[in-house]
Amino acid sequence: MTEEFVITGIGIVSPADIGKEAFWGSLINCKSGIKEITRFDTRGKKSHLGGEIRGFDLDAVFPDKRFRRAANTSKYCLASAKLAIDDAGLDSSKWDGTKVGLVVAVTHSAINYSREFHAALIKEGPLAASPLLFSDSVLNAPAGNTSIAFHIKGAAHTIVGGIPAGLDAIGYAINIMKMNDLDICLAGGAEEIDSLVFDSYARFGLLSPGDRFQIRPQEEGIKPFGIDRNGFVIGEGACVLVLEKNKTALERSARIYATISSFNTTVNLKTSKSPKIFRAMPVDESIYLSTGANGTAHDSTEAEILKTEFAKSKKPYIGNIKPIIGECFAASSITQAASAAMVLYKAIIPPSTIRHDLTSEMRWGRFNASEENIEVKTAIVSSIGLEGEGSFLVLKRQIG
Amino acid sequence: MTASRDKIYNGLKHRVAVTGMGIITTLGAGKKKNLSGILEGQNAIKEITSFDVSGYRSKIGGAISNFNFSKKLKQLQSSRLDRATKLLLTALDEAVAEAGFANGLPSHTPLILGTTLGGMLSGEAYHRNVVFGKKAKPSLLLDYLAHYQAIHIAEEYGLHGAAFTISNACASGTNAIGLAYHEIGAGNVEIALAGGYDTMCEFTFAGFNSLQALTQTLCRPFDKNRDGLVLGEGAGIIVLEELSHAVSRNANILTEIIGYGESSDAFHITRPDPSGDGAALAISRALDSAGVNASAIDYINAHGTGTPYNDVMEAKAIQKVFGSASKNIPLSSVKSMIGHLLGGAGAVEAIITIMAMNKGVLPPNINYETPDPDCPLNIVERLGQKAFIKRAMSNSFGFGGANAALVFQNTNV
Repeated sequence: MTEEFVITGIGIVSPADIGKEAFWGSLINCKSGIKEITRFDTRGKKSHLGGEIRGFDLDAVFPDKRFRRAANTSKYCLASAKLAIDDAGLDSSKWDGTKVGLVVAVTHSAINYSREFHAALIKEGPLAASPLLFSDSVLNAPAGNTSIAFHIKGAAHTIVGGIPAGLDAIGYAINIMKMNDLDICLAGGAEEIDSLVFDSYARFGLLSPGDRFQIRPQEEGIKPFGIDRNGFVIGEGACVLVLEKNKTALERSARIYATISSFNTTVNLKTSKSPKIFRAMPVDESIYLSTGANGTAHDSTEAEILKTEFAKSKKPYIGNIKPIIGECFAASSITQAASAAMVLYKAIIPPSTIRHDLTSEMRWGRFNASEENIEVKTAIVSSIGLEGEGSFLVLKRQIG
Repeated sequence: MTASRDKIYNGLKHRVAVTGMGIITTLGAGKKKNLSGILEGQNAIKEITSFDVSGYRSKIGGAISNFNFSKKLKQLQSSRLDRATKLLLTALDEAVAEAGFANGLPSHTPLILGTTLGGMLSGEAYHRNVVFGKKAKPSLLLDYLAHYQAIHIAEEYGLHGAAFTISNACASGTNAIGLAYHEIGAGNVEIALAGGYDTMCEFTFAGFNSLQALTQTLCRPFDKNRDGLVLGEGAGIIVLEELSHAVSRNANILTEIIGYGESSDAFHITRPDPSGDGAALAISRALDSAGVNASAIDYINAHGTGTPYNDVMEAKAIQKVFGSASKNIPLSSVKSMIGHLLGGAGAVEAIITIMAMNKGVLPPNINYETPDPDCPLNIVERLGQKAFIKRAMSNSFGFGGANAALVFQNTNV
């Protein structure tokens, strides 16, 4: 990948807060959006926590009646896109939509709409099957709705993937910008909490307090790389980034959060022998490393890979936003990218959320207890999914 | 512009060959059955038996009957796989063997798949258990999720590269091939697997039924009396390879992919933009990236769903880009024979297009009887129409306004 593409806009709808600055405030203050789940009854279940988005009103961000019946996944995506476009100082009513693209990553998408549609079909027959639910249940509904809302005609794609899919959306967005000679591409991830998905992960023993990976039973909550980690807490939300050609961003004097330096994706990390992820790891500079660890056994895979990659480097600052927002799947990894871009731009490293006892593979990092004002030149985003699929993004601070 | 491939357009550095293809549709498993069925104009649409269709107006589809998956798996457990994964593995084996990689692909080979609903049959089973208050196997959720088929395939084939799943509705398969084409063209990889798949399931059938998009009689693309589509199922996989890499290992070069274009309608979540502007942009981008003008195309494999909306929109788009040549270039949709494979359509139709190019026979557009003045195109009506097809285009358009087109060229290398 070249360094010709930059991030110029950030839109976040997260359990911690809505809006980029509010989210940043949550990172600085370590204010978590994880609370007792209210959307469905968790009595009798082993897990009760979730990163729910409460009090969300699409109209407050993007009043458009066409999307009032859309699933929350779409609504979160629409709101994040609007926030990101505004943040970038762009106006979608004035842009040439054929020069703008969109990639949205989802994991479960509107599984609640699929369930509802199918339940009506099973219980009452074909006549009860709602065309409105069907059209918004499809995996590309968030991208479809977002392209319609913001006149995006260059390309509109949906990537379906696990937790790293949000980073894949960035990598793919760069690809389609080159492919179609686009000036701008929105890259995002969106997810919503659904009771069926919650139950499934709970029964897999993946939710804290899980029983599949627990080392010592502890209280509920995400402990990335923790020696006593016991699973993840499910979350929801969306994050959209405005990616732009460096040249056009400079021409319009846009604020540049970060330059996209490289992207890498791979599967089967669990069985892959010593995967080499980064071509050249800086040795002498301070690096911010946004990790994707979510308190499951897979944290060890990430820790081992990163330990090898950073073996000859200065101790990186280790960030992790999962204790703040929960595991929001495709939306998580791109929110990590947003946080890393803000670290580069603001030259502030938020206090590490990792305060617990660490697994031995991860004791090599730097875990700052309070915020530090440091101009890091490089931020790395790492995300590994439940099946050992991993994606990695390197961002650079824009010089000048 | 000339059609010379000395210059590679769209900023790409490398030429991209197709060296292997695998296909399974309602016509059967394998290229041979599909090519002969298509060229004979076989209507493989039957009454659906895999679920109860008595409550539906339409009762037909292009389901694959008697599908016995007997592949000996190295890593996966056959009994735990969704039908979608089994269809994919069937197509993959054929494609990989034809490309000469039966003993193993390079482990970094990326796998790029397109699908609309992933493992929806597992999802249906899961939903049904929940509705009836039974405890569903949580593993069903994983097979349900649309990216797990790619994960399973990568595991079975020992792949460690990218495993990407694109879900752009009915354009997904074409988008997957387009991305793979671009990855090789840009010099990022030398070999890639790309394709698409979807299964016949009641969820989708009921959805299209609720949108009143299904015909009760025949799928008649571009016919004046067309009244809807027929769903199908299957998978198509293509092995794409950097041309000089393929030449150096004496691989059989089936065709060259010379162009790809895409766009988005930004119009409606299910209906295409009736102006055809979005589709026209994808088609013209495909031609631009191929470095050829419209008159260089010898055959168009249309998306042609047989719905009133799609076909007139596609005709308008073709007219906009091809101008007066749109009345001359032979065009057909094979959906009249195998149904609409949704996420699988783009890949399966690309394979059928390439096979037809190599055979020198145009695929027919069966069930076409009454010309539609709104679709003034050169529809391939007769069976066995021989033609020298040097360059062909394959179109795909989907829900959410996804448009994509590929251009193939048979090149002497």
